Amino acid sequence: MAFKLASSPHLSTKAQTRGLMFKVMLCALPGVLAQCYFFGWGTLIQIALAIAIAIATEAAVLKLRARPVGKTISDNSAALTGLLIGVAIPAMAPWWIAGIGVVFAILVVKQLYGGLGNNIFNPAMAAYVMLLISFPVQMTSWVAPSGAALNDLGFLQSLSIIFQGADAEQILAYRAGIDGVTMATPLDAVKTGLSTGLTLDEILAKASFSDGFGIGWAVINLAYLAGGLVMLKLKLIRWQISTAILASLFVCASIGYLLSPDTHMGPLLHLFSGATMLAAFFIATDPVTAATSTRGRLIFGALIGLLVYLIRSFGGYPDAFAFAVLLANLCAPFIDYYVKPRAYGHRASR
Amino acid sequence: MLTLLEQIDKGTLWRIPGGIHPPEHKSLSNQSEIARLPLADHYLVPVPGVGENCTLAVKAGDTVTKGQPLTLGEGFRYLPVHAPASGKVIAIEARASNHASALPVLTCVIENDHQEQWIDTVHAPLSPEQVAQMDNDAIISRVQAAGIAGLGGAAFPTHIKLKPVSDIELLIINGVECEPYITSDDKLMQEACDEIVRGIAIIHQLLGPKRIIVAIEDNKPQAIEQMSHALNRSQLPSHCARVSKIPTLYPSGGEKQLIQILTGQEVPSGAIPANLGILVQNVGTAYSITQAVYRNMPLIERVVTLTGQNIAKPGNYWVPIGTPVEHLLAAAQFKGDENSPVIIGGPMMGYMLPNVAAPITKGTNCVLLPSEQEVAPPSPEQPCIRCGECAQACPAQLLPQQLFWHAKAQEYDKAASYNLRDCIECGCCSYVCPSDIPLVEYYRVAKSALRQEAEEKKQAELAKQRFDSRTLRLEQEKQAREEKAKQAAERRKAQMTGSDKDAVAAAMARIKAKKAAQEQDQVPATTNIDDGKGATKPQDKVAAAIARAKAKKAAQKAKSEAPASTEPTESHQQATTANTGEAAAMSQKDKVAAAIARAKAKKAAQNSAEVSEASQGATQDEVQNLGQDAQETAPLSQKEKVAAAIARAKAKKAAQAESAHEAPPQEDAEGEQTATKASTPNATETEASSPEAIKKAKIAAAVAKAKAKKAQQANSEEQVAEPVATDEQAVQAVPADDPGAIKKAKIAAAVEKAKAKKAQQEKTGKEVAEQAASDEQAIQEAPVEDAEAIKKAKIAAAVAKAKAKKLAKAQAENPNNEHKD
Repeated sequence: MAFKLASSPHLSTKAQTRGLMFKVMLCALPGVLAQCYFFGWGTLIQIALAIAIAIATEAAVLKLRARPVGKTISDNSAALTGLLIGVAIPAMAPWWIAGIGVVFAILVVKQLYGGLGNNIFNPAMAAYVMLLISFPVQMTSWVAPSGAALNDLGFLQSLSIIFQGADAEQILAYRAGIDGVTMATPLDAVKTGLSTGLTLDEILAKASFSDGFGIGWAVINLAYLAGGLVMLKLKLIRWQISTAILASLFVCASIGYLLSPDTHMGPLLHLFSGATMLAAFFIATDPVTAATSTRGRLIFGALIGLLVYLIRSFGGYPDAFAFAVLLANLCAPFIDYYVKPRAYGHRASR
Repeated sequence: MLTLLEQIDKGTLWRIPGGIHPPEHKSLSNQSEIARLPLADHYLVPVPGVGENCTLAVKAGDTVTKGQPLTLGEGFRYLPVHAPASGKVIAIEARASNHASALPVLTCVIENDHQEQWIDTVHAPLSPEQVAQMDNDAIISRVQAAGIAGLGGAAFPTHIKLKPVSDIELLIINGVECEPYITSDDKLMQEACDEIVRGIAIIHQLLGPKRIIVAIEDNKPQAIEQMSHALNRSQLPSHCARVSKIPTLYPSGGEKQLIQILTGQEVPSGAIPANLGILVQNVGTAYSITQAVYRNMPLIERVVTLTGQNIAKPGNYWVPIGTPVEHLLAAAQFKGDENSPVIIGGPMMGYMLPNVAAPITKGTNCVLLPSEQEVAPPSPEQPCIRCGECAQACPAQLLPQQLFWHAKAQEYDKAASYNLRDCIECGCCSYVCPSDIPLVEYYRVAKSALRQEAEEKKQAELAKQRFDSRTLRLEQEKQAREEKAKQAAERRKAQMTGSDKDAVAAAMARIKAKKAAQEQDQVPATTNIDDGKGATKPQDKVAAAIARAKAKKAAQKAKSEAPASTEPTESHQQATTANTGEAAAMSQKDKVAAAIARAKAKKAAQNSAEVSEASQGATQDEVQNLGQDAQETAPLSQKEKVAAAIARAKAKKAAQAESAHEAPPQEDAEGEQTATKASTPNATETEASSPEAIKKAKIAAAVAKAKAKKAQQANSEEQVAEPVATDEQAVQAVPADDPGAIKKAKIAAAVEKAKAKKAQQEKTGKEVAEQAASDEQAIQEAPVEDAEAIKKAKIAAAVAKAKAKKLAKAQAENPNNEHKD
């Protein structure tokens, strides 16, 4: 018989890795659009650039490794990595930031470990951390979110800033053109403010927060939350990791805020600023680098939430998701090893 | 807390972890009644048990009736198979099996004669009352004789399950049928609910469970209704039996999963449900039990779902077991081509049949003939992204991604540590996998590798045991050989060491004897110098030249031995004197024996008996005996001995008159030989003084020879020869362990010879001889302990000898010449 004999089961869901990845990207759309709205064309340009470099790098490496190129690229995992790096770097960062980050993510963090499914670290977050440490100025040059960002700076202008680079005058002119203030993220502002001895109320009372500066980030987070809920609904992700992250962060922030409201951000500020929702739904849920069992995922998520809170409150960096995710990635095999579910017919061991 | 039974009565259901909801596709086949297809012309009944627990009951060419057993077997595990149609057995040969491998198995090929002639043991149905009166053994033997195996798919012999290891509290009748496409149980429950319930009643009669649950998925409302009605109609106690509707979820119909759903309990890993007091039987099995018990009808047909979009007439059919699958395909109008898959069982756990010539078996509940839209060829495997969906779907709560990881890396031991053997191969993990990884296939490979490994381990263990026992056996044999060799060596050594010891003892004895002799020689010499010094200075006082010569020789010996003896301390000397006493005692006995022998020989000679005869006739034993006798009689017969000595002298004279020359030299030669023989082993075996010993021995031999010659010269051969011969025989007779004694005996013999010579030389030798004899007797009578006394006696004897010699010398030449001839 010429028919290839197959082992049971002979039925399979239509779910495919490529579709899964693609749907995740689609679910990120609300957040991406919100970012565009607040940060201008630069966001889209960065995303497109990152995705293109990601796919190109993946193809090149696969060719070198003599693996099927087309089939592997079509699993959309490289594109998703590119997307996540694109949304994570500042909208007006020079092109080589995205280039270096994506090549590092795909080449070093993913393919050198054996490609999809074999990497230990989340490629996007590893690249982000690498960039943050290597190019701190470029990586923290977020402009203040403004509702008129798309109008303020045209698409071509954004392109030229990103690709041709901007000398100091151009940047100054550009920034002056927006609102004349170079702004870090709210988390950055709070961190800086707290370090100068201001209380949280004083920092939040400053002009930068009152004119929608904090609102912009909150909206972006809400948009990612919406996308995440859709993913949950579509069962693209399981609820454990995201819920555990948010719950853990909320609990930790609440405790800190209750103990010392002047020096600790409130839980809501924690949840809706920075990369919280993006990381909780789109980054930490990367299955390859996360724990796999239900309990393991809860532990994994809770660990991330705790680490984020600790680094944000007591560490040197304003945001901490990249570090927290990478540290949790390190723990994932350990968690998986020790948090095995009790198999049918076995007594609970341990 | 409610008890389990109360919870069951309440209808509580538990959830199983995982599970999936694959498309059911049941409506394809459950729209029509169970039908019959045209019968096949040939049936293939596998008889795999032949050679294991049964033999063939038919042979090629035999005619069989429908329902006739094809095998004969014994034992409780034996499961007979029956002819599904009347006809002729045309072959019994290996045919493709209904298995994923299609490996050929021994198969009975029956040509259907389409006569439908039943075997006559099948009878009209009994009444339920009659069945109720049957005893358990009769029921079970009917079930066994009917060849009923679990019809759910596993085909485990039902009669074994009906004799469980423990009491059954809960009987579960499995009508879940959770696999997509399959509707055979569903339709059977709808159409034969009363028969099924009768089968349930039979099991109830056998095992007396406290509760009976008929479990049916909620997607079979008609079956649920029919079964409920049938239960209500039945004789079963109403509180005890009921239908339980369970939510549709694959794989709820798995035995372990069903138990978990209905009781919340888990069958411990490696155990069977009977350990929990639970028995699970398929509805089709219950139906077959009814047929077997009520009608004595064997299991020769079953309901098979023929379904899939590749068949024109999907539905459920009563199919005789043994019907070739290809016959079914033709009868139900298979639309596919030779490349279309034929799946035995459902889409989740069924296997693709490589060869459609294989027959339907007792466990075949479905033949699925899917189109390519239904079951696509497997898509290529992609990398596992550890999404964990498989772990979510796994009803056994395993971690399929970890199992896969280790199975793919062939780390089977690690896979086993993730409880690989608890995998029920339901296929949920593969079903949900977004990377299209054939997980179950990996697990099957890993499981068989583990099985093989275990088997090899077992074989290796056996081989090791064999090797160990062989090594042990060889070792034991070797040891036994060594032990034997050792024993032999020890025996040899014992002989050798015995002679060694003897040699040492002999050497010691010799030394003592010599010392004694020395003393004998020295005391008359009244020298105040001890050891060799005195000896080297011959005393003029000793008149007799022969005595002097002897003394010299003895002194020489003593001298040569003196250095050999180490550190002559006082204690040592004491020890030697004590030993000398013993040695002297020995020699004394010998002397007595010799003397008596001599005396007797002389008497014999006196009685004009043949001298040679006497000497030759005196065997060692005789001499010994005589010696013993003499010893016994010695103290009493002193006078007699004196008389004997006189007689001896007379005999000598008489012998002088006769002429028998030949024997003595011979005897002497023999004596010489024995002397050397006696001395040589001693010499060679004594380390300290072996050359000296040899020398001494030779000297002694030379002395003996010289004496013998003298004796010859003395012309009184017979008389001399006689005692010499007897003495030498006595010497030979002396036990080997005391060469010292031998030596003494020789010395004694030599002394006697010398005396004899003297006696000869002396014309008036009688008196001397008498004296010598009496002296000797005195010596003999001296107590063993009293070495001093012996010494004195010996000295006296020596003095006497010396005197005798002097006398002999003085009267010298003539007699010698006279007797020369």
